[in-house]
Amino acid sequence: MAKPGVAGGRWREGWRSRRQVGLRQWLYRGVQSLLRRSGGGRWVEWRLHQIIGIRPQDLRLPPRLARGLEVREAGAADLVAMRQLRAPAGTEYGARLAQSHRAIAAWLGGRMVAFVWVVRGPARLPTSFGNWWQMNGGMAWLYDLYSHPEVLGAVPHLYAWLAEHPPGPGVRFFVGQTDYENRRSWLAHRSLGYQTWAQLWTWRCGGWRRQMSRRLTRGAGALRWHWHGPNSPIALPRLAPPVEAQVAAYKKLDDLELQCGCGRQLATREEEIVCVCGRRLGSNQGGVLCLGEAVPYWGEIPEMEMQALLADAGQRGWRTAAREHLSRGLYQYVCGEERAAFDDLLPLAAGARVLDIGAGWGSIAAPLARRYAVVAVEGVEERARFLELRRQQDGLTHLRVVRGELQNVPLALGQFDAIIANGVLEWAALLDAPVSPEQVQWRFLDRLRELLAPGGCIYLAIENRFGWPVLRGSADHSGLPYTSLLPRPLARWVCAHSHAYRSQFNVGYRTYTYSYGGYRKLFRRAGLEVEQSWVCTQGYNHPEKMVPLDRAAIRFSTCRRPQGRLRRLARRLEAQPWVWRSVGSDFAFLLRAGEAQGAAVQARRGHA
Amino acid sequence: MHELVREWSTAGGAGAILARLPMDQGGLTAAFAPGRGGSRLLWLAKTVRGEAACARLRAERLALERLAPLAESLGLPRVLAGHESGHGEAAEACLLQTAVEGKPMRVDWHAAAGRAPLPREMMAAGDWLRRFQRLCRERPELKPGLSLAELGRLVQSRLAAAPEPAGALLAPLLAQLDDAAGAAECIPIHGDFWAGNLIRSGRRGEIGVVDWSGFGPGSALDDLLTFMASLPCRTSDGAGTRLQGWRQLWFEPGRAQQYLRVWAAEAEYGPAQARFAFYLFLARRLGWEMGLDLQARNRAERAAAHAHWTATLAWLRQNRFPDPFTISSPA
Repeated sequence: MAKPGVAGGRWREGWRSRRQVGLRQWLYRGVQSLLRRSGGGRWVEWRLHQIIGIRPQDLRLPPRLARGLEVREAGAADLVAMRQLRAPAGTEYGARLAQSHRAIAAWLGGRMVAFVWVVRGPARLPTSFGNWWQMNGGMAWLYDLYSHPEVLGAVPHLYAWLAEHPPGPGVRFFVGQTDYENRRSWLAHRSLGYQTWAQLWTWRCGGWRRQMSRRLTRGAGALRWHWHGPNSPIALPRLAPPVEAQVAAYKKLDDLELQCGCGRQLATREEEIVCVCGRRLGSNQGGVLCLGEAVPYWGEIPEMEMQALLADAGQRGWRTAAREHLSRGLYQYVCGEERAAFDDLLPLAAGARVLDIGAGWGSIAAPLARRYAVVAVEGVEERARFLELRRQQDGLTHLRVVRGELQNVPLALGQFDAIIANGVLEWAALLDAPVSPEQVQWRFLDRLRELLAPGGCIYLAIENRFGWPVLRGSADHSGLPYTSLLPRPLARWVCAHSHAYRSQFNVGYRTYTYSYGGYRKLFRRAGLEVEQSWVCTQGYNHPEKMVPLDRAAIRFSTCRRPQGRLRRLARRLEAQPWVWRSVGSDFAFLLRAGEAQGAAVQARRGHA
Repeated sequence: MHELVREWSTAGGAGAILARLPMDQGGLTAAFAPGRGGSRLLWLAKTVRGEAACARLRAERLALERLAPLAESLGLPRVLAGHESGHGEAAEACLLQTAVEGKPMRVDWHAAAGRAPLPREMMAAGDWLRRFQRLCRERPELKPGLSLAELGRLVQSRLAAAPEPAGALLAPLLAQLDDAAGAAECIPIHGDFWAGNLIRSGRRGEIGVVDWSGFGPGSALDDLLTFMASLPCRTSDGAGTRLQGWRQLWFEPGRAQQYLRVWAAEAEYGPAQARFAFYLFLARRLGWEMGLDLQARNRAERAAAHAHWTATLAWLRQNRFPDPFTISSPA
């Protein structure tokens, strides 16, 4: 947990301001006092409570805390003191402590002056007016005990203690409740960095009948009010801002940076991108950032057909053109957004900058661009143009198309929060014939690691060399079955003597895939650490079901109870992680730069 | 990754192990906490896109929040957090809930078993349903405050504008709903009470129930009928249609029919009321299978449902809309 910041002298003003009462407060107080004095309070209740909350890391603490206060965890022996402090409800405290709730208490001269309940996970807590709070997450709950000046001084102590002694991994918020009338308490909390989380109007008619009481709540920023009966729990809303607000903080794609061979970094806004040293790095052509030479055309459809599709897409829209020019299966492959379903597992904040390598038709880059700022790199000119048309027609303002081959694209180092390499690593060695495929793949991974920002991650999906589909005879990247199972020299010989299309393209068998252990070795060599690994049961192009290599998760994902002994035995075997590691169809890895390697990259960047 | 999932998966410092499973118009993310004795399932997050899917998730969230007081005793998940954003096609919703540990129930039973004892799973599901209905009756705030006749009228008004193939199928079923017979009070029902939504755990096989997006008012027989309707429909020759399965379950003398009658008696339904509840169930089921309810259906599913219901209705019409609670054996 981050150490809380220390605020200046503002907090003191907050604690000491006794007369800072606005017109609304006066009105409110007036109504309350009228109700109290006339005795109407017995019949009509009308109050406003404010639920306030803060994340521990956002807490601002006063520079100096009150003297003589002692803060420690309360045990069963302190129940008497608790009861004295909170007399009417005191009898519940023992039960609550027994229910695994913890209490942190502040003591002044041997007398308890305040305490905090620490509650983890979903729980219900009684309110002071007969309802229940439904807590939907770990939080530390502070009762409104701080109206006495003595206790006010104790409150920051409690927070400071909690911030320094994190109550547990699930505790994410500190939450409190104040009455609107108690402005002093409210201001004091605001000075500590609290924000109003929800407002609660309590309204009751007929004081002797609890059944008639109704509560009206509204979360901060929410439009709707919610009614609560006497028995219905009042759910506390989340403290985190809504997703839209966070997506508004997209990282700008205009300031995508290139790095010249001379070490200078260049922006990509100009039409022609030329370094001071005279080197021309690339140009912007019709929205596509062209860097380096284009890769010769290859793709699922012939080049002529692709040209016709592009011409059609410009006039009638890419979707219509794709429907007419592509087969039904390929159309679904291009348009289906489920290809980016792995996004559910990427630990990325909305608005992060993502690099998609080998973007192709944009089936992954386009869905991702709704949440992140995506740079899509594609080597083939025609595909890059198609992607740009798709971007323009779908209004994807957070997508930037770059035409070029990753190894030759001079992107500046350390600028991407995530890199997507979906089915790319195995093809990396095709165009670099003189060097061994392993060497090229290793260099490719090294390049990816260099492009990562500190704390960034790589999502890499690829086939298993000995995967179940391969064992069953489905075609390898060579276009022939079983070539990945063969020793590499034998596979090379088979490919050299075959007439299948992909073998002609893939002369010398350069599309190496590996076993699970082989990948780990390759990653280690490139300075990458595997954070999580999954098996994509339906292939990495349909990552809708991704099972982590963990026993409990495998059981959860394959939880059907089979009939018959043999099938049951097969199921039992299927639940073993080593089986999935050995013959799982496709792997997906979440990789991060190793610490030592990360430091080396930082040093290199600094040097540059 | 949805912000909510990110926030929860990184809450403890060390990242949780995440698995992804497919779901209608979205995905289900399961988080596991790694530990020495093996990892442990922590929570589930449902993330969906599109207006209809968001509405379904919203319905589930509301249901779980209403049922929160019963969660512990009935083994229901609890809502941890939820979030919705956007409109129309761009709408996105995420619901985090506690996990119900165990495995989905599987019923190995031939619908044609006739006089054979009912499967243990059905008895266990029935016991759970009894407990659920009793607890709901005890809580006044859960009472829908609606009679079966009023519910029938609501269903009629909602399904009246159904597109043509479904509309023609629904009409004869809705015509069976006689308002005079629908005086009984509605009770809360699960709405999608099939074996896959029942999670069994522990040695004693305690049942937890998930997927509450169909929660709403209904008759006391609705959930049981849903359970029966979704049983595997293999007949004794091994190749039966669903209609054959339903006929053998409901309209031929046997343990299943007896069990249904016992339920009707326990709910204090007279013959007319039980018939009303049965045909109301059939009408709602048809709407649900044809995608007229919150659950969206693709073209193939709709076509399969259309074929099944055409055959079912032809048989029902031929037998003058029989009643499982009074007849012994129709033609």
